[in-house]
Amino acid sequence: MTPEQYTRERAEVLRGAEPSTKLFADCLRTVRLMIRTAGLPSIYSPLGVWSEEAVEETFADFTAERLLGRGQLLAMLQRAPVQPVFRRMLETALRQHLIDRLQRSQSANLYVRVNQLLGDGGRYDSNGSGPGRLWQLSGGTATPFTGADRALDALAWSLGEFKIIRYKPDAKKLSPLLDTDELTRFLNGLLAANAMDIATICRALKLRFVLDDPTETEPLEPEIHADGIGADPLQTILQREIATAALAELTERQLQVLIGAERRKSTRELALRLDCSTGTVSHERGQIAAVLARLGGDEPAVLKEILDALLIGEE
Amino acid sequence: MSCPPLTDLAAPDAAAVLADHLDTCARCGALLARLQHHEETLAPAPDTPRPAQPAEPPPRGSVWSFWAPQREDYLISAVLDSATVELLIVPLLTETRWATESDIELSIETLGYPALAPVWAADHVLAEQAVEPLNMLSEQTLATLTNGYEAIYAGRALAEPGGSAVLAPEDPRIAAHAAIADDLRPYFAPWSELQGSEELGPVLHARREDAGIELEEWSESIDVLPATWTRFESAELDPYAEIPTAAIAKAVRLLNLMPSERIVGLAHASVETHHRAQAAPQATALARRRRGIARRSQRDPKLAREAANTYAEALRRELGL
Repeated sequence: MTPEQYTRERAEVLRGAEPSTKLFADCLRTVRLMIRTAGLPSIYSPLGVWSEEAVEETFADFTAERLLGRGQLLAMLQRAPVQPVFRRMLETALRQHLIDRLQRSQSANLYVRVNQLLGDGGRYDSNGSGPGRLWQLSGGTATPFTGADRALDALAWSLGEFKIIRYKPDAKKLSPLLDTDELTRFLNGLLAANAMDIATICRALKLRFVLDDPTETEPLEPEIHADGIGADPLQTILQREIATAALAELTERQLQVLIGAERRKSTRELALRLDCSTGTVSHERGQIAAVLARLGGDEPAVLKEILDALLIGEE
Repeated sequence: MSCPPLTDLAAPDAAAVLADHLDTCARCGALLARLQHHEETLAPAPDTPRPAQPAEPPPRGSVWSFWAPQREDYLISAVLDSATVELLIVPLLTETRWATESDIELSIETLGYPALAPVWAADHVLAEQAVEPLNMLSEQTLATLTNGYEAIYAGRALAEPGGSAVLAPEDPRIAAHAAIADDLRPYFAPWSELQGSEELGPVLHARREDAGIELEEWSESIDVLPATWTRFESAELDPYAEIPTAAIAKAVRLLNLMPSERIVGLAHASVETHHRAQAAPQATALARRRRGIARRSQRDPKLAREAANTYAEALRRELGL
């Protein structure tokens, strides 16, 4: 699709016409090119590798759920007056779609781990039995939580930023959505406010981290993405793939914050340099941590590769 | 300039076509070196077109796209209040995950996709920034947004908040809202840069100071005497008499201000306030002058307004409005 064809297509859709097959073909082209050029790591594939079948399945799912189901195609066309802007938005939307799907599919493990943590003994006490069993911090409040979802959501958000998800390609099935320290911090934060039953705790997780109900999660393939791990040359390739994916996923501003953090710049200095507020720098720090943790880019070797690539670029 | 799509960076001619961006962006430079290339060459990238001004200002309750000089994407917003020169808008964002008790959620039925209206971020834009009409809100949705905006500024709770309350300073949604505000700033800048005075001189003075341009250098570039420009910036001079509209238009361009009816209105006010041309002298005044008593006569408001109209019309042409 040429830039001129895009302009015409956009005008038609904004006038109320259905998006043409040509526009969808252009979207599919973007998906294929993102994969071919290593812009999307294989961990984002529903099948663990980017086969033709995986590409088609991903595009069909992306189109049905996000582009049409949630009206994102119309939203992007409205905001993107020219083709490069549209394609950039499409890439971001696709990546977000794959991340959301991966995140949801890994949520079941989280509920199991909450149960394990509560039962580990010593840290938590409980009253009652069955599904109504109330959990509290040892020596903490026994007053049960009786608020509505909004109050639970507010409480969950008030616990601050959490480093979530490790989708590293070498992760095994049911890799954690929150590592144990972070999950414990979340659990302790909730129970410091009120005693809760397991359903309320799971509800808080769902609200805060936008998870599916565990009963609705898709079955996971065992040992997903585990192929090719172990040998050093493959590790190097993997490391490069992760670093490239992180560079593609982070914005220019986020990468400037990352470089600033590496150079020990204060939040205020960074805000001045980037002409933004200190709150924005804090927000970007949180976003960077989430992306790097998700991809495994927070491992020293990978982080070094990302920073080296950026600093060479800067020079 | 925003980063190009990843697929453009992987084009075989990306280094040449995107050279300007690659010179300034470490991210894209790093990606260019790492992505595998494909075979499709890049079509010349069109710039985001600057919109032609709509015949009528967007009406209250409509949803429009808005343009800003520093942005390549449009901002979709609902118009809460409309005037010839400026509009009060509330952005409608597709990213909804940072919703708090200060935001309003719009269901998919309203725009065709779920959206978040951060009524705390509502602000003004210039009428010239409006690009395309997209939708018309129902009376009920408009009332919800307007009431929400008024509630925020009166310190009241929203009747139907889109998210839960922020209870602690650790809540990451606080920082997310700061980032949203920063991202929206370029859209509101063309209007906010023209505030601070009801005359053009002081507005241009503030902008020149911000840009760090010395008076001598400035005067040379717009070909106006420094003393004259200083008096204009201090709101003590009638530009009609001493500053050609071409110089004002050049100043607007050099200071990266968006040509607009607001600028024309400020120039109009400068002339109308300071114009000293007088009406035909009355007999007593003539007699005084003959006796050598040169008392300064009253300004003639009608003549001042006519001069202001003439000047505004000429400036409008110079600015291409």
